[in-house]
Amino acid sequence: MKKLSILLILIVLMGTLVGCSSDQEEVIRMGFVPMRDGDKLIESVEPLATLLTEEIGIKVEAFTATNYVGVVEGLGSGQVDFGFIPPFAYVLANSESNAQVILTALNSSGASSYRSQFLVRADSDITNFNDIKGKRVAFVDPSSTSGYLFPGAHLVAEGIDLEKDIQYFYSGGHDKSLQLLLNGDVDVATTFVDVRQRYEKDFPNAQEETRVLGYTQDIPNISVTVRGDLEQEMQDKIQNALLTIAASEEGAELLKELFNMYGFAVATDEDYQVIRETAASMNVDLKAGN
Amino acid sequence: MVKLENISVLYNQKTLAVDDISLKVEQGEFLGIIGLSGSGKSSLLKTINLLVKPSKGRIYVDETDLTKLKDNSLRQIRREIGFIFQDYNLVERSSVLENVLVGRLGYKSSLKSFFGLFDNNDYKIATEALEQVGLKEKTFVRADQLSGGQKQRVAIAKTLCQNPKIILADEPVSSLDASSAQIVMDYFKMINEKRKITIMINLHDVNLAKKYCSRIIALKNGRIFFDEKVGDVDDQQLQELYQ
Amino acid sequence: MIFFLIMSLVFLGLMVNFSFIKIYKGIPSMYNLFERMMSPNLAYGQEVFSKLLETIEIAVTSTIMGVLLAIPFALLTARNITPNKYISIGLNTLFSFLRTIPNLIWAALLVSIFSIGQLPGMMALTITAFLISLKLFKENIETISENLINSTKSVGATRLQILRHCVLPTMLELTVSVFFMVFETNIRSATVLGLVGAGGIGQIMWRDLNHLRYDNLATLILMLFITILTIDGLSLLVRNQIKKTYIPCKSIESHRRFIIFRGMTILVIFLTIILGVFNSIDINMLRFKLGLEQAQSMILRMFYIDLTYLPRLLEGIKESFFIAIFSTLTGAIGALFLSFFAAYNTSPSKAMVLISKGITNILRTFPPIVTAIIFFRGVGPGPLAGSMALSIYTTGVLTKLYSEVIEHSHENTKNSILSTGCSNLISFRHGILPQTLPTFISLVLYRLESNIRTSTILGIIGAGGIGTILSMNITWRNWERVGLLILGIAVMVMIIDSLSYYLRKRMS
Repeated sequence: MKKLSILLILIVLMGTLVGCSSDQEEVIRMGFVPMRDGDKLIESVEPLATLLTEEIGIKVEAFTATNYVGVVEGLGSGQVDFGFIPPFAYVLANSESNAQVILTALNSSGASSYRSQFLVRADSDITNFNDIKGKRVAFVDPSSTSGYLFPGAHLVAEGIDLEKDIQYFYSGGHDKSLQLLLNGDVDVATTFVDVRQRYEKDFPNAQEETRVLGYTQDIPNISVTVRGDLEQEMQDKIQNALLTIAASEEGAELLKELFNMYGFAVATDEDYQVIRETAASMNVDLKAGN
Repeated sequence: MVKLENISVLYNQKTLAVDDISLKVEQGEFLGIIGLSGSGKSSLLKTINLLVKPSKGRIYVDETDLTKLKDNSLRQIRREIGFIFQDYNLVERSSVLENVLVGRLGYKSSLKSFFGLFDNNDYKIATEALEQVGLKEKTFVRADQLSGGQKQRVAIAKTLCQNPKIILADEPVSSLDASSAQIVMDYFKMINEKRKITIMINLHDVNLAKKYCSRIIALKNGRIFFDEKVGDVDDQQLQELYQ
Repeated sequence: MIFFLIMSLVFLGLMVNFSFIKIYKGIPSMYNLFERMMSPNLAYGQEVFSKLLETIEIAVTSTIMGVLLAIPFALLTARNITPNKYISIGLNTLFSFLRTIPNLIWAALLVSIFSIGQLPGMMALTITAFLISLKLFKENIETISENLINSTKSVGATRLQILRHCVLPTMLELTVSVFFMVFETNIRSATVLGLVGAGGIGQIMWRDLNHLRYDNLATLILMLFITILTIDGLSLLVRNQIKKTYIPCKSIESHRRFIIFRGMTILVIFLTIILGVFNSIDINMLRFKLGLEQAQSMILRMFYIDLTYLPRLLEGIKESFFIAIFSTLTGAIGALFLSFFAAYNTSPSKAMVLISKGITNILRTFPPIVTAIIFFRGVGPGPLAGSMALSIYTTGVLTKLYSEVIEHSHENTKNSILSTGCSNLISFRHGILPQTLPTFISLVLYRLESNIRTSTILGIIGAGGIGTILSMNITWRNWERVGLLILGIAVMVMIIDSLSYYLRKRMS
């Protein structure tokens, strides 16, 4: 009985090992990191993976993550072949492992970028950026692009010293920034466009009770980034496949429905230079440590 | 006076620990209860102050029927019934004095005792009790510093603080060596004689029972096997009991 | 038994895609990331230190409040002293449900009610402290012998008197060790502070992680390591002091003064804390009411669970379930071996003790999310990375707790077996292990519950489990779906709880 059970265990163990080593058949791994300020809650990337598999002819395995660090590291080590990652994550992946952006997504107005907004209460006495001095400002969190980096840089460019001229808080979320503004806890909130629509159900009066003070510079949209050591041929294949899918009726519908993407535009590293510059102006040092 | 009428104790609705026992103990008696482990000695003792609820029967202390009492009056009756365990059950981290004062709790309001406030009378009673068990010099020592025999004497002092009419003792000397056991039993005897407190004691050791008790009850399988004055117990009976 | 264990390991391994080959192949890439952490940026230490102080300041107050608050509730929930069986069951269900609620949700509620800053931060940590210490207290009270309670009952004491004079004094030492344990947890789980605008060390950890500043991260982990060691030392010191405490009385009079003095001190500490908390509340009633309404509507929406989301829930929860069980089991096995070397009284040599204790402390200092990223780099997406990260963390925590249990176990057991002439290992296997096994199992179960919680967090980097959809839906404020997800997690915890209860019963 004992011998039998040991034999059984060995068989199962072997099964595990062999089962996993047969993983080696060629697959492409795709990571999808939705932007927190994106327009759509990404439920499942499986349908897109299926279309890509058909188009490329190699099985595409997809997964989602809400934080990009894993995917960026995966791009560096070769565990992930390409991914939909936020612009800031692309810049990091590029400097860490020379990952390359091949495409950027277009939004409903056909643009390849978006902006953040400065919200104040409708009855606020703040009418221009100079009035912000001495007020309470809610940022999202120190690692947020649209909730801190770009709005912060915008204020700096307007001649406001973040440490001296204003009192700022990190709210921990775009929704919470809006809420703090509505509740009178802060005077200015920096959020994506348009936070008031997305959280209409929670804060139905947001549209009437707030107004937009101004917008930040353009922020590039989500990027399609491939790992740095991926063969050119495969890079082209992925790029073409995505463009073809976006051009097809079925594919366009799916991208619109699931991801709120209205096509892709070819992108280069240049397009993301603005992120690096903004980061530098906010004293975010990305180079060291890599 | 303690009177049990047709008491049965049932655990988990299947194990019958005490089977229809009736018993009458007069004030001032020193009653020993003997029997094999599992014969129901402990359960019998614990039913008397209702630590274990009997499944059937009545318990009278003087004229009061304990089984009919509500929480509040049950607590008042419990003050008059001391209970001593085999494993001392002192709060190890507290001083001897604090442990003995626990015996006064039944007489205190909840609020006062919550802040640990006892009055002069309580302290007087506690000191006297400690004096009686010969541990006055240990008053401010932490309980975990004492030997087993000393701990059991503290437990007796605690019980004396209740001003009890009856003391129930469940194998109080089983974990002690022979000489400490003698000393503890001597204190029981003294309390019994000086204060006329009824003592009902479970004993493992028949010789101790014969030496100290005035009356011996033997339990077997939850029933009374014999109930005799101490002089009338013969070896024949004992042999049958422990078979 | 062994057979059963191996079979379940193999099964769990299959469920989390375990493969030696995969891990082996990933070693170079994992090492690469590790190497980047090997050069801590010491210039950054000052910022970390000020954030650490900020965190400690909030953590001290909230830990004291949480622990103190937990005591009365523990008295209500512990099965052996609860005034009513149904109250105990009801409260227990409620609290284990509350324990499954992720920090993100607490943050959303607290920001609604108390705005942002120190106060909601303190509240958030108080809630965590309360929930953890409640569980620890409850389990400890349940081990108080029935006779000790009965002996106080028999003097005619009321329920309150029993608690005050019998249960509380026996809990003092435990309270101290619970305090330090929860304090440590509060400092390391201080990410929630960042979610309510209270800053703290968790926030800069996430920032450095998000900026891939591994040199800064290394500095941070190093300081965390030192902090944890300091807390441990402090805990040991205080506990030893309590054990030695001499009762400073010579007469009844001085005893009474001592009691009054002690009572006053406790009262003063209590009042100071309450005053401090009230002082830090600086919101007006109107704002408070508005916040309450917002929080109320949020909670109400969670009750209208969105059942159409069920398939996604099941998919995610299945993975989280296996990650949690796999990592707990492997962590437990790892801890069993490591504890043997880490406990003074079983280890073959003094050097071994030092090395093993060092390893243990390093393992439990690394935040699981960082380890998960390292493994993700090596083995890619899927449940394996999360499982390995959690398994390593569990090994660290369990070894620490269990080696202490071994060190406190009776010397005699070991010696009586050693004297028959067998080795240390045999005496461990046949003496100490059987004696401490019940404690070990309850430690493992305690870890299992928190592993379920952590496994739902690890999901956010793509390491498998329910975390991805949970955090997404919270950011989107889809409370109906969040309600369903939390319910799912709570049901899973309860199933595991009753499963382990059943297993324990069968084993004993």
